[in-house]
Amino acid sequence: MDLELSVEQAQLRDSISIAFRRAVESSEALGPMLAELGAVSMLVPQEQGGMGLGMVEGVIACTQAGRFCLNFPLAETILLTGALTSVRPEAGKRVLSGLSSITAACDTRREGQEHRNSGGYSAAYLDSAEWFAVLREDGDIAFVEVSRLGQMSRNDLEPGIATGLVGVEPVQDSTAVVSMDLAVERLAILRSAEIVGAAAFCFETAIEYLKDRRQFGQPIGANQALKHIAADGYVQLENIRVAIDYAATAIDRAVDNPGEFEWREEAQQVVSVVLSFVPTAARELAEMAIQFHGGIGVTWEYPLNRYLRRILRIGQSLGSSEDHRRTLVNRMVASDAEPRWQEQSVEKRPA
Amino acid sequence: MNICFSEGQKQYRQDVRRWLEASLPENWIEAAHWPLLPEPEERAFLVDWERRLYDAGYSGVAWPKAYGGQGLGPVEEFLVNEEMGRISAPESLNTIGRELVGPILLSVGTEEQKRHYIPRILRIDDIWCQGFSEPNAGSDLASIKTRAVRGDGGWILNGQKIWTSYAHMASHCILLARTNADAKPHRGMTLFIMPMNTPGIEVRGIRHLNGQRHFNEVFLTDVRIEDGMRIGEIDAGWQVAVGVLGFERATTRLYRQQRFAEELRALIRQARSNGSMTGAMEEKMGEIAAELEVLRYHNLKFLGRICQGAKIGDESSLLKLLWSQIHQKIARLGLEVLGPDIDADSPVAARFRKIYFIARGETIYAGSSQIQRNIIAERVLGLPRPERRPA
Ligand SMILES: Cc1cc2nc3c(=O)[nH]c(=O)nc-3n(C[C@H](O)[C@H](O)[C@H](O)COP(=O)(O)OP(=O)(O)OC[C@H]3O[C@@H](n4cnc5c(N)ncnc54)[C@H](O)[C@@H]3O)c2cc1C
Repeated sequence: MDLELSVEQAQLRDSISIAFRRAVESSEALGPMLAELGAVSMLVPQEQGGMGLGMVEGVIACTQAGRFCLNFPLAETILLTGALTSVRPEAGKRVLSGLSSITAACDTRREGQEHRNSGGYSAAYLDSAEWFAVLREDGDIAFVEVSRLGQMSRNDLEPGIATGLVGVEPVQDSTAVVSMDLAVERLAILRSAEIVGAAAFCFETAIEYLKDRRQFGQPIGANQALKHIAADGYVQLENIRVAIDYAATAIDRAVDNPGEFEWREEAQQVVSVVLSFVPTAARELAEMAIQFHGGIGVTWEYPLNRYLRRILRIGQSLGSSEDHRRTLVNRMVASDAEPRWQEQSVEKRPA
Repeated sequence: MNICFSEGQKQYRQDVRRWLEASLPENWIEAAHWPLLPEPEERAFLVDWERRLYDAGYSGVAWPKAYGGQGLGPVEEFLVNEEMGRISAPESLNTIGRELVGPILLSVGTEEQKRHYIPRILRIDDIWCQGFSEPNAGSDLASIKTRAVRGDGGWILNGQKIWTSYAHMASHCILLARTNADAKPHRGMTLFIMPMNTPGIEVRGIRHLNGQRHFNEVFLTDVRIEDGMRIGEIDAGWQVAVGVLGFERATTRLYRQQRFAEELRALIRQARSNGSMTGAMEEKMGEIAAELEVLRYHNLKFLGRICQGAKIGDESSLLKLLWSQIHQKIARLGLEVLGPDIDADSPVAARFRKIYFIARGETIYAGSSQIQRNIIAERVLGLPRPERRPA
């Protein structure tokens, strides 16, 4: 039992952090820099020329992307480059060399439901990504070239990157379909990691501000009213972190042991746990940070703005918590989760 | 990262589970998990249960064999606790002995103290109570006034303790007393073993919100004990108590997660059968289910750290905050699910009435939620202490 990063993983985190800082401070294009770092090929299987790392490392990288509010679809690209390479080798090469990237949407609509009212998928990085992936719950991934998408509208939730609604025909001749185990779950966790990185940045910025900013002759952080909110924020952040680490580990275990049905179920359950609270909790951390900053917190220029918008965009794409909560309730009373002897209570009852 | 138990550990869990299934008292389910027996019978019942646990080797799992323990590791201890929580097995009468006194003696007790007291805790020959809080020293524990002065070759104790759980059943008390009035408050306290039958001790009951006599006032008038009853160094009581407490807070209460999950399952079943399961209710339950899962991940993370020999510090405040708050949510959920039936003469109503009242105290004892937040804010996040007094 071990839910801490290994020494190598901690080193990976630190070197990614240094590299991402350099990348956002430089004026060069991000893609090639990230490719050179090896960030893009992290999760690509070794047979395809990648590093073959797992979800835990993916979470480390995406968390750092969130911390630096990187304008690059890192979660989608690192997860899907291998799959794209297997059906479109040339396109995969372009992604691996940093000339292109992948953006994605999850098709988690329930059977018989209409296309969401808009009739399209929200997607980001439409100006830089070359491939758009639709992930279906059955594990199928359909890749379409972004240039062939019907763009229906543009959104301005995150002004720094091109987001919008796109339409995809059910089958196009340019569509390449490939299947990947637990693809929807993996993407959800990597995206969650990105918003957690963003939320951690907001939280830490706020804690520093509580120590520096003085009013009434003392640091504002000396006030217990703020301390207790901050302590609850810390608990929330630790909750998110441990849930995501556990989820990443559970997914890796399930993917590495395809025969273990229980492990697969547990992986899906942990993803439900994460999706049932992380988007909201991350957003609340950003909101708390804004409140702690007073007026400066609600300005366009202050960095919290970008981070809040990043959390909103990704968080909204992760769907509603309601279904996941229901799943958890059902699972709790599923027969295998209960102590067996409960069923025999009638016989044990004395006359 | 690794979230797997080893094959041996899985087997151990199966063995524990099988033993519990076969050994739970006959009327346990009938009593709906809370034996609502008259006090002496309840006591006899709990003592008997604990002895059987010990005889089966499921008590003192991680304590050294030399003192009657099983000499296994923290994982096995965790597994036993989880399995007991999972079926809501009876809670120990001797939590103070097991969770506080045992670990303190094992870490700073003399060889003689360990050999004498540790096996007696496990066999429940002794029941312990904890004499720390005083009328004017609760959260601010360092301001206790009960004095221990040298005399008759030992110590003479005078003062008053309050909120002393189980003092009316206990054979021994672990007592925190001031031994140095001149030192800084934290540096002048010492821990003692005080047999409850020593002359000069008067115990007066206090009734708990739930109606039972749970805690007590304990008055000490010239209570004489030998120096051999001192635990650890003179004036080092605070350091011992706080050091062990932090660790224990993090580790011994891990089983609660499974116990609470069992309570939530009972409420889900209840709501489905009494028609109170609405969409909103299901969402609320799902939210608590997720919180319980996250608590389990935290527990496993702590367990992993303990196995690696890491020090557990102020982070344990996080666990205390979480479990006590989650339990209050479950308790409130019980009110909602049962509605007016919370007052019914049924086992499920009795169970959730008791849970509701008991849970109120859980955010108060062992460091209130406010104190835990102070600890996190100041010691974990490094936020400053106030510089000026409010006008
Ligand atoms: C069920 C139960 C069993 C107990 N059993 C035992 C036992 O066996 N042995 C034993 O020694 N003690 C026991 N206690 C006592 C317990 O440890 C104390 O109640 C606790 O430490 C709080 O102290 P107090 O009751 O004096 O409250 P106070 O310290 O007076 O606190 C009152 C309120 O003020 C808040 N508060 C206090 N200081 C601060 C601060 N600095 N900042 C913000 N808020 C603050 C508290 O959170 C609380 O809400 C038990 C208590 C309960 C409820």
